[in-house]
Amino acid sequence: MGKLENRVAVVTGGGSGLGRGMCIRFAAEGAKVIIADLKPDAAEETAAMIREKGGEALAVECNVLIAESIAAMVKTGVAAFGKIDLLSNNTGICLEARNSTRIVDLEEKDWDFTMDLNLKSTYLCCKYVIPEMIKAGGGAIVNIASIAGHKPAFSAAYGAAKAGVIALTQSVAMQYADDNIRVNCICPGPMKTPTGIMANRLGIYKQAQPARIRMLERLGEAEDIANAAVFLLSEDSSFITGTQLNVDGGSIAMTVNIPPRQK
Amino acid sequence: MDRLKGQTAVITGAASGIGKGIALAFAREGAQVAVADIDTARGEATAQEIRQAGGQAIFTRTDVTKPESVAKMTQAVMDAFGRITILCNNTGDAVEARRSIRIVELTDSEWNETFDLGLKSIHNCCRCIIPHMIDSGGGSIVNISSIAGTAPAFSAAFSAMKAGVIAITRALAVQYADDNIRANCICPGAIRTPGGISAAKQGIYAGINNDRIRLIERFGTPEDVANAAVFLASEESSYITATSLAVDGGMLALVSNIPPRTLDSVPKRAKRPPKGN
Repeated sequence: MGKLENRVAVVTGGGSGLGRGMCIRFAAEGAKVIIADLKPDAAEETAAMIREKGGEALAVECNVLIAESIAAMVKTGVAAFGKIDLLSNNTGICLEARNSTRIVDLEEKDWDFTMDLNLKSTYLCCKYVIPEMIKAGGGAIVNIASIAGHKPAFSAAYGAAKAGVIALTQSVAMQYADDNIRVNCICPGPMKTPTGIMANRLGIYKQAQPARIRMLERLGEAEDIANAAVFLLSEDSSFITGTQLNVDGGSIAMTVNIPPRQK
Repeated sequence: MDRLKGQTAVITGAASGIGKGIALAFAREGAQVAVADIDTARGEATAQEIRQAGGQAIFTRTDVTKPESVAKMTQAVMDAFGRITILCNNTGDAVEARRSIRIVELTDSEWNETFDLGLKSIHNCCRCIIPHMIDSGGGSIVNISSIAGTAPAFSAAFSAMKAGVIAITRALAVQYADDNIRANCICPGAIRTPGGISAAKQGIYAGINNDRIRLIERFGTPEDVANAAVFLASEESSYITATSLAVDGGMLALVSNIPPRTLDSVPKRAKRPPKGN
């Protein structure tokens, strides 16, 4: 018996990276998955991976910056699976880490795009999916924020957008608590995704000392986020709402160096 | 349901309340469980309940405030199961909440008992058990803190002690990261346990003007905390360390009131009188 049996989940950005990881895990836990992605081929690829394992999935082309596109995705999803009760807002980008951009050099269009893809997309998807959740008698939302949203990080726009995701998570948790909808967010640390690897290469994650930057000496994997998301979307977390879970290998707790062993 | 198969867990304060819930959940997920508690009758009963359900459990009478007692407990667990890979430090008492004690009324012995049971116990248990975790290649420590450790709360000693639990959790994570030991804590809100219910009766949890105090309108259960503990003890959280997870029904997130759905039911605000002079 899977942890998400009889659930229908929307995962935005489900065609790659963390989103794909979540889609596959959600399906393995019994959910029917609506894979929303700007790239239909990528979404279809995720869907095929799920179907191969006997799961149910639907790939839907969706631009999460455009309300009509989201509304259409929701309609298609409900037509296929009858309802939506889980949502993972996963789209995001960090242009600044990729190019080591400081705020003076940050183009206005890059600011706008960062805010839109990380934050406005979350607003829009909530706007169109929550009414379906209410019809279904409740649901759960997990937003992918970042540790950059609550601790100092290099990227200004990205950090501000992700802090916005955390704040939005708490507000929406409050607004729809009485509709039996829980809303939480995950704050990933350094991940093995294209952006994460690039940022790592640029030295964004390094501390001033040549010290290690997290306790667990590896990059996080999509699977790590997917595990946390399953927990936060399942009944296992039915008393958890409006909170954030760091999945960061201990990065933000790493304010000191680990001294060598004495012996 | 084998998320903890092959693991051996010590849970302190597992005779009742949250600890018992965690012990039952760990056993259900396939772990061998050591119920460590000072209460023999109820501790035995917890272990018995696990065995009757087909799980593996022992009870060892333990006073977690006493290093010798913890050492004996550790030896008993090693004798029974041969290894320890999970430690859940769960003991704690909220005497202030139960009796509405402010700091002026708080006695020296109440202060000491609060810290000995809630915080020194973690030192005692970690000292004895971490070497065995290292021997078995790593492990996971789950400490039970409280939202009182991060947000304003009535009880002074309890809050300070629970803040200490969060801090010691982070330090443990730093110190033993290279030994493949993760350390995290759970911050429960109002949970339906004897302690939680008496705190509720004292009105500790009530908001000013009887406003609601959490988003999810129920008490948490030991199972709610246990579900989070299983997640943090298992390999599912293998990239999570040094963090704390609130299991509080949205209590911490509720800093404002939830307004009614329609504004029709809101009384109109009286017009502000014109400024004098």
